[in-house]
Amino acid sequence: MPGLVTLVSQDNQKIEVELNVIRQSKVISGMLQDLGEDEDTEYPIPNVSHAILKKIIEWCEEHKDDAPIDDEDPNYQEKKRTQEVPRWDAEFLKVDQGTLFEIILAANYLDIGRLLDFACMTVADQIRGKTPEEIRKHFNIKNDFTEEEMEQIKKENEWCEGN
Amino acid sequence: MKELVTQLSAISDADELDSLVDQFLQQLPENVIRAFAERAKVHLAHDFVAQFPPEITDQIFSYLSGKDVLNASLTSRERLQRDRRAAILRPSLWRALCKKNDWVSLERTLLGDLTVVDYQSENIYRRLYHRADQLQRNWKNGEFKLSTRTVRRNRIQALDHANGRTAALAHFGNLTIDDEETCESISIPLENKRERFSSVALAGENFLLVGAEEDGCVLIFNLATRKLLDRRYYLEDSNNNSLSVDHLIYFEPNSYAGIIGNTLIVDSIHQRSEKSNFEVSDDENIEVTSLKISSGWNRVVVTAWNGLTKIFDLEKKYWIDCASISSEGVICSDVKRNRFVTGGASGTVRGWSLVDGKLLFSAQKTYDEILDVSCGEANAASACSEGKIRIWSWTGQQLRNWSAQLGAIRCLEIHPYFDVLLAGGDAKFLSIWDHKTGKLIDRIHRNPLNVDKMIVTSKLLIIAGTGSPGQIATYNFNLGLGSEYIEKETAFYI
Repeated sequence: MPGLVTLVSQDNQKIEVELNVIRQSKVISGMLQDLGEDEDTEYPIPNVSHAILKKIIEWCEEHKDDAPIDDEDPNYQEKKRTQEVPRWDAEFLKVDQGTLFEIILAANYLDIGRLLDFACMTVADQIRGKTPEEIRKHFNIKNDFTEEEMEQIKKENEWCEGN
Repeated sequence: MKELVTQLSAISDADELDSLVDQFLQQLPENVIRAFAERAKVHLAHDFVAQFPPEITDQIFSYLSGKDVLNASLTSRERLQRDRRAAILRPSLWRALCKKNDWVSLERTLLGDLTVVDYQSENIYRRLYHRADQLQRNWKNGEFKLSTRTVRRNRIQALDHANGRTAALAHFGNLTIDDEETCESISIPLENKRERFSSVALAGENFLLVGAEEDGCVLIFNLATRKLLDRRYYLEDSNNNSLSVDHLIYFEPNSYAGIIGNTLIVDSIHQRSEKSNFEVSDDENIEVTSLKISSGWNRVVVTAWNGLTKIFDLEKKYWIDCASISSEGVICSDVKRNRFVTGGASGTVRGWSLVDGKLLFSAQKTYDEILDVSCGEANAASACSEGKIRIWSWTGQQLRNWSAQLGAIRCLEIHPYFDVLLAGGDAKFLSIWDHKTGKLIDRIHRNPLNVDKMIVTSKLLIIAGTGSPGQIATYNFNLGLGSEYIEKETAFYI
């Protein structure tokens, strides 16, 4: 079918995807330009597993009609600073921690700015407003501080409080 | 128990293990199994944030406040050491935090207070964040003092502030520049003592622009030598009666814009532009009420008493008409980034897009004149002659309204950096409100003057009063930071 490209994931599985969908990845766009938009060419994505690549394509399909983003645009920068994760994307990113981790790494590797922004915002939401103890519980982090150390650190960083 | 664990871990056949676990679970009540599942979740969770490359951790942290970043770092020794390294040695994180709070543009003003060692180290954004955060707390806690109060013989006609200097133009051409740092006040000598002026603008570090009241000319002074460099005439052939240069504003690089009658003048300080006059409207008697600039967008907004609202692109030199069907006079405007808000003579507040002049909202809750408006990031504020303040969302929804005082509120500012709202007006009214909650932070009872003009900077609140003699008061919020200004009260006559 015209307008399709084949991506090969880390685990050597092939996925066909429409050109206009996957163009949101600046890395794949660049590859398409370098290697030519040939239907028979397979584009290796060695850092992303099949399952995650499928999720990434699902996101790209939903956002295929979005205007491309310009990182330098002050308007976009402002929006990025103030906006919340849209409902669809928030639902999309309601996944287990491992998958979210993989999605962030994949979005970073494939250079899909908006997906990376939303995923990072989701992680930030998981941290926001939590005490160190709650964060520890959420991310299963072992507390290796002594009581005195905790007090000392708190004292040093008092200026941060209330902000 | 130990034995059971040892026996279970010795079973290598997965099916056998599955069936054993199933048998075990079947004997347990549901609530215990649920509790097990919750525990399992905790064990399955892992500190994936710690495994991200630094640029992703930076991005995640940039969405968080300083307190949240600290809490995330305080979870373990390893994380604290790493995040501390990240926070202290990696300037990008602090830069991102400053950027998030819109504090990066404070760099020039606040970092000037730091020692050379701080400034040259990689810590500058950590320091900047620290400084801005302390200032924010001073504004939000109402910690300030009246730092200077100056009396001029005549009423204050125009006021401008830039690069730590305040320029005040009193009636009959008395022109003074006050320096924040040195507390010095210098007077700019004018050749013709009878000449009258109507507007003033500080232009970068080196120049001062003054608009004449009668012959439509702009005077350019060198600030260091206090010498007049140029006197530029505009509209010499016009039949227009009013040749007063009003609403003079400076914009980078070395250019200025002003209004003479029905004409917008746009010119460069160093080299006179070929075409510098742009007609606002063909109605010669039009009264332009405000000229405001969005420096990021390089566009100005012009509003007039006949209801006209227009945008002029300073770079490409063209007008954008704003779509409005109302002929209600527009009294005031304010611009922030790509949006602006206007206030009308019959109480209508309108929000506009600076990109294409599209009307974002139009709302009217009163028939009293809107005397001032202010644009914030997420909302806009308006103040009217009956003393009410209203906060509007960009969709035109009234988010909050309260009676601030009985008399008119003439000046209203949403602080450009910190979440406070400042209002001043008749009856010596001057108040600070928490912009987020609408809570009154401080009503400055000892304010000595009715407020007619207001300038808000990161550290100072400068107000000028109505009437004669002209008075200027400066409230300093830069307290407890090591570089306080010397409190002084001066009264001198020129």
